[in-house]
Amino acid sequence: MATREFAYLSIRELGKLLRAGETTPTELAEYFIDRLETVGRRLNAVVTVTRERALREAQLAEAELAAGLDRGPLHGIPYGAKDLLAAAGYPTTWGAEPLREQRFDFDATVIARLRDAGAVLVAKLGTVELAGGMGYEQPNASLTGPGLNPWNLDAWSGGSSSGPGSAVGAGAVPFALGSETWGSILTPSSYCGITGLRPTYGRVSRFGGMVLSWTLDKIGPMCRSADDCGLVLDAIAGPDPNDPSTSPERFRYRPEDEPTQGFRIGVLEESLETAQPEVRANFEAALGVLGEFAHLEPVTLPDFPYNETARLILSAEAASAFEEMLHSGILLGLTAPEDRTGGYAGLTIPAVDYLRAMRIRRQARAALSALLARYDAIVHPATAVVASPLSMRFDDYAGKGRRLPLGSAGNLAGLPAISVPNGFGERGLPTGLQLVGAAGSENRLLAVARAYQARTDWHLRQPPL
Amino acid sequence: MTDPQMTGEIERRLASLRNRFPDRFTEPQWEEIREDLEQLVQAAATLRQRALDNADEPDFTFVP
Repeated sequence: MATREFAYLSIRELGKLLRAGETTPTELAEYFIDRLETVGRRLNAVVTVTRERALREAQLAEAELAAGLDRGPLHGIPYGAKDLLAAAGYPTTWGAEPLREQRFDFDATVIARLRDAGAVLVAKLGTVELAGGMGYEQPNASLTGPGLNPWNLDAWSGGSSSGPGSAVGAGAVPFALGSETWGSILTPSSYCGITGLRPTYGRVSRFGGMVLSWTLDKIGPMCRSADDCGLVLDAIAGPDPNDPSTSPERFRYRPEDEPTQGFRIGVLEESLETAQPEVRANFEAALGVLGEFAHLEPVTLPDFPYNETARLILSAEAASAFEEMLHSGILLGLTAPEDRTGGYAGLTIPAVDYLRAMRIRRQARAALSALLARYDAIVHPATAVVASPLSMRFDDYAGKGRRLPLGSAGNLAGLPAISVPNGFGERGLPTGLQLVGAAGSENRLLAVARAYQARTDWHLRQPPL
Repeated sequence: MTDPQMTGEIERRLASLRNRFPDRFTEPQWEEIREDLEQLVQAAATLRQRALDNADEPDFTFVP
C-alpha cells in the first residue's frame, strides 16, 4: 500500500484492511509513528511518541484479531491524545514547560476506554499551555512551540487542541482526542480542515484530564469525518464514578436509526458581518447543500450576555483550579509572556459575581433548550476567520470577530457541536461549518453532518505536505 | 474605562493582588493584570444589568 493511502483513510477503511489481512495493527502503528516523527514533529504537533506502549497494544490487537476476538471498529486503529490526558508512565505536560516531567501512574478514563476498545495510543499531542486557560493571545504558547497548520506552514493550527488538529489534518494519526472549554475542539478542527465533535457536557468523563473549568470542560474526538467521530464517541462516552459530572445515560452511535434527509435546521445569521468574505461565501454555499436535504429557516439566539457570562465563569474556575500554581509562582515559567500574568485577575472575582454568572447561565440554558427543541441543528460558521499568521496576535488578525456568539452560548449551555470542513479561505486555509444541537442529540447532529459530507468532498481533501 | 466606580473597583483589586504578590511582577506585567481586571469588572457590570429574581438559582446542583 502506498504511503498516502494509509495516511488519509477513515477508521472504517483501515478496519476493513485489517480484517482482510491487508495490513496489521503493528504495521499501522509503525507507519503512523513514522508519520508523527517526521510530519508531526515538523508541525510541532507531537509532545511524546508512545512507541513502546503502541507496539505492545498493537501486538495484543493483532493476536486478538487473529484469535477471532474483535473489539469493534477501533480495534487495532492508532490514535493520539491531547497532552492534558494522563497515560500511565508517560509525561503529561499540559503543554507547560514547568510541567515537562509531570507523570501520572494511571490512564485517564478516555484513554482506558480506548484501550478496552482495542485502539492503539501512538502519541501524546501538542496543546496550548494549560489548555489556553491563562489567556494566550498569540500562537507561541506551548512547550512544543506554535502549532503549525498542515495547509500553510506560516499559519497557526488553532488551539488549544493544536496537536490533535494538525496531526489529524496532516494524516499523522487517523484520529485524536481533544478537549474544549471554549472553542478548543471546534477552532483547530475548522482551521486544520478536519471534523471535530464537542460532545454534550457530561457525555464523556474528564477523569485523568487537566481541569481548566469544572463546568465547561469537555473531551471529544477530532477525526476525518462525522462517521469517524461517532465511532470514537461510542467508545469513550458513558458514566464514570470518577467524574461526578458524567451523565448516567449510556451513548450508542446508531447511524442506522437516524434519517438521512428531512432535517429541520435553524440558520443563525447574527455576527456574519464580522466574518471574512470567504468564510461568508463558504457558509452561503454550505446552506445551498444543506437545503438539498433539510428545511432551513432563520433563527436568532435568545438575548443573553454569553461572552461575559462565559468569561466570568471560566476565569473564576480556572483561578481556583490553578490557585496553588498561581501562588507558587511556577507559572512564570510558561512560554507565552501573557500567560505568566493571565490567571491572577481571576483570583479577585467576588463569589457574588460568579454566582450571578451561574444564575444567568441557567436562564440562558433554558432559553437555548427551548429554541433547539424545534431544530435538529443550528448552523453558523465555526470561526469568523481562517487561521491567523504565526506572526500575528489573534485580535490583530481577527478583530472583533474572534468570538462568535454561538461558541460561548453552546459551551455555556453544554450543548454538542460539530465542525465540518466547508471550503477554503485566504492563504489556502480551510473554513468550517458549525452545527449545534440540543443536549444529548449527538446522533442527530452526526446524521446531519454525515448527510452534508455525503454531498461534499471538503473532508477528503489532503494538504500539500 | 471611564466609570469612576469601575475604575475604583479595578484599583482596589489591583492593590489586593500587589499586596499578595509584592515582588512577583514588573510594572509592565502589572499593567497587563490591570487590563485583565478591567475585562472582568466590565463583564460583571454587564451581568448586573440583567434583572434576576430572588428565586433565580445558579446553574449547578448540590447532591448531598
